[in-house]
Amino acid sequence: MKPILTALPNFFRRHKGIVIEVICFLFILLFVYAAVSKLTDVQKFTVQIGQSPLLTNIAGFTAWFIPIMEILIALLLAWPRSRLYGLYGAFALMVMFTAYIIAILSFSEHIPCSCGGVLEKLGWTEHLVFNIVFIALAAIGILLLTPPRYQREDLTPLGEQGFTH
Amino acid sequence: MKRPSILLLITFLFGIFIVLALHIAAPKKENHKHAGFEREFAPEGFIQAIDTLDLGRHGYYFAGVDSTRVFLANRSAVGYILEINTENLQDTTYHIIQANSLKYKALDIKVNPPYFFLMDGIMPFIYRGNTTDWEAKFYINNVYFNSALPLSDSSFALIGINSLKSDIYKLTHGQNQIEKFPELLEAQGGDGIFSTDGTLYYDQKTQQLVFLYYYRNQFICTDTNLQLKYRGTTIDTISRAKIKVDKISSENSLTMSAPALKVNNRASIYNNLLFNNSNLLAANEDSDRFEKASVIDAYDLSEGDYRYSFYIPLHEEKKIKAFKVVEDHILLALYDHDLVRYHLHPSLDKPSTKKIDDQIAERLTYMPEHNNKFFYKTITNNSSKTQKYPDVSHGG
Repeated sequence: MKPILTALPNFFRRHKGIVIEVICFLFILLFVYAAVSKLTDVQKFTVQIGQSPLLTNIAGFTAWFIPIMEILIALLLAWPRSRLYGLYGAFALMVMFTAYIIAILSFSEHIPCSCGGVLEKLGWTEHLVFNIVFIALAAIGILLLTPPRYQREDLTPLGEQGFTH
Repeated sequence: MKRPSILLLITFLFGIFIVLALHIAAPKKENHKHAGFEREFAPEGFIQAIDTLDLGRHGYYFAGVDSTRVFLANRSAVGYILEINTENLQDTTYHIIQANSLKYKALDIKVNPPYFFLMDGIMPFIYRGNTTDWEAKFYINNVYFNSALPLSDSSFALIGINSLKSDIYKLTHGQNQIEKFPELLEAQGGDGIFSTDGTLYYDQKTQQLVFLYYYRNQFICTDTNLQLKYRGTTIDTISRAKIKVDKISSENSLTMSAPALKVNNRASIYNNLLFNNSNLLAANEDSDRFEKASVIDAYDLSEGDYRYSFYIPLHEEKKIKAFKVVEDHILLALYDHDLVRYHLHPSLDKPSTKKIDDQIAERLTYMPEHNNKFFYKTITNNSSKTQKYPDVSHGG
């Protein structure tokens, strides 16, 4: 029996197409859901993130910026040609959310929460695990989506970009 | 196109950088910025840990005390009362409260021997039972409140909300009407709920009720009939609540929309002294020292004069969750899952005009046996410091 460390990447590679579809679908679902639940009540979201010591000064801006970014990334992910950009965006956004959670948990005296919809019900640890899983998904998607010839720099023809899928 | 691993790393660092920038730009230590006042600290060794008791779990709070016992209730194990002998922190007893199919939403348990009370201001109800059989029986219903404090076996001070303003009520068993005292709590900045938030404390010994505001430097001292004695001020400079309140229209609710500046965290009153755990750094304090302890300011409740300050130290790197002064010179502090008993040095009990040598001699005779050695050392080391004391304290 193969060790899991090599078995798992092999599985992903063999079913590359479907794995990428699933990852993108999950991200679109997550971001559209999160954005819509924020945008349907921007006023509530603004008040809630105002309670965060990290965001209180830019609450008005963040309340619009985050859901708009989420929708933009969802759109990039929906279009096969722009998927790789979308995955990098998703990866960056999830890293930011996770870093924010860690920052607020370790440096803040009181801890407000303002995630949309059902995510509001998650505890902080569950939230952290949830986020890390999504970060991993984005990374897997990026690695799978990058054409093999670009995976090693010494083999890469410079200046050429292609996203055939 | 670079290697994806490098791009991933750059993206990752970018994400971290944004949050780090937010963290650096965030308003820092609001409670360190209003240091326009000074504290007079008790000499080193004023507070000494004597015993520690591991309670084994989190979530305990002080439900009540009498002369030799403290009763702790637990937020997660509702219905259990832990009784501890405050003289040695050793004789502990678990009590299980009997209450027939009680449904609750915001249950608070207070023990005021010989009775205990189960109080829920949302359901609402008050149950009462006695501390011999721990059987709770229905006592009062139909009065909604945010918090309630037993003043005697049958009367309570309540904080309730009436047309968007918090007020203090008095509730007495057997009386049809609650007495309202709308003039006691004063709203600020057009908000009657958050600006007037605070806690009630009652001193059985001197029969004084104190309401301490969270967000401004004030407390209110009344008698048991809630007749105002005076309005006192804590030593800091925050006379107006620094809070921002907004409405969430879709939920028709009011909430704070920015981190509030808390002035007073928690307090305890005992024998005419108010011990207030302030949240604000003073001008003559070291900010690191302040962060690594809980500062307590003592006030004389006769007229609300400031007396002195001291630090309750960290215990296993954690600050106190609650504290209570339970008898002369004994302070109990609750940490995550430990109860620590501290001894407060008697030297600051009464301001004195005697010569310093006489004071030292007198203090030595006050000392409990097991601490003799330590305090002797402390006093001789700090005799020059202690000398300042009579000037600091006001006539009590």
